[in-house]
Formats: sequence, C-alpha cells, structure tokens
Amino acid sequence: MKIPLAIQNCAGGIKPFLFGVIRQTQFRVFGRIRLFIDTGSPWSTISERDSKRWRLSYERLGTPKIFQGISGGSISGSPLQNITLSVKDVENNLVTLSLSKIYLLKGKVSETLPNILGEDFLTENRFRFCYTPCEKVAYLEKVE
Amino acid sequence: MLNDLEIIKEIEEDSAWFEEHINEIKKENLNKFVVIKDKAIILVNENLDTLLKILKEIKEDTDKILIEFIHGEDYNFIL
Repeated sequence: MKIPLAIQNCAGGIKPFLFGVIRQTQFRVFGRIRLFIDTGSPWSTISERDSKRWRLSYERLGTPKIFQGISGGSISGSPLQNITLSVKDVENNLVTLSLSKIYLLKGKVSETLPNILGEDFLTENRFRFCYTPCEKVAYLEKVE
Repeated sequence: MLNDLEIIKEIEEDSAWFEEHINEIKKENLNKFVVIKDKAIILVNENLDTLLKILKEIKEDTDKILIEFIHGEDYNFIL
C-alpha cells in the first residue's frame, strides 16, 4: 500500500505533507488536517492553529510534555490519545490509520508551526518514508 | 454531507491552490493567518483568536476550512 504525499513550501523550504481527516471520539475531534512528515521528530504534534478549533479542555488531556527546540526555546504539548486519520492511497481508496498519541502544542509560537507526523506515526503504522526532493516525489509505503 | 474521500479531495485542491498562489498571497498577508475555502481566501487576521471568533460569528464551519500562517521569506524552521 502506498500513500502519496504532496510536496509544498512551508517555512523556508519544501516539505512532504499528508492530507487527511482526523478523528478522536472521546473529545469529539473532527476535521481536515495537513501534516508534515518529519522523521527528525520522535513525536507527532498538532499546532494550536488547528487544535483551537476543537475547543478542548487541555486539563482533561493528561500531563503535558515539554519539547525543547534547537534554539533552546521550549513549548508544551498535551497528549490526545487514540486518534484515527483517514487518508487516501495512490489508487484513491480510503485508508484509516491510527496513532496512539499526538501532542497538542500550546502557546503563541505553536500557532504558526506546521502539524507534524513524526517517527512514532511511521513506526506504529509500519511505514517506509520515501522522499526524493529533487524530483518533488514523496510517499509512504507499508512494510509488510 | 461529504464522505472522507470527498473531504480529502477538497483539502488537496485548496492546499494546491494555496501553494500555487503563495507568492501573491504573501504580498498582502505577511505574518497573518489566512482561511482557505473552495480555492479562495475567505478571511485574514493577524490574531488567531480573533479570526476564530469571526469565523464563529459568520457561522463558518471550522471543520471545512484550512487555516495557514503566512511566514516571511526570512523565516526558516529547522525541524
């Protein structure tokens, strides 16, 4: 199974993006989402730009995690658990993926950050990430 | 009501339109949040909370839009 990714400009350069529909039943999360595949991040995160639409009570989500940036700045994120993500494969079939946890980032800085699908997503869903920037081609492929 | 495949198709189209027009969008909306729907910018604001409040007032369904922040050329992430 192959999931195509779109190569788009974001914050200074091209990046591979996955489009989908995100759901989490307990907190009634539902919506369109655009996520950047970032193998350099161990975790998946959602910007406050998207999570604010869902009007969640962060206190109910659990203990926040502090993320340290390369610049030394830090940002906190609250865990949202048991997420499903509907995406389409190269043959236009709907595929439902799961992620045990995604962190909802908090604070003004997070409002401008892209949403990230990190290594946790690739591992849980057994995906190989193929990216050829010079040809602007990227996709996820299931490892059987 | 749209099914998930139709919703994904809409996101792809809106996002592709955004990518195609990013240079002209940047000219007028630098460091602002923009709301994209049906291949058009329907709202712009510098403040996310204000933007979400306006969307609520005009009864726009926030599940059916894309909100993007327009970074300047000198703004680069290392992620």
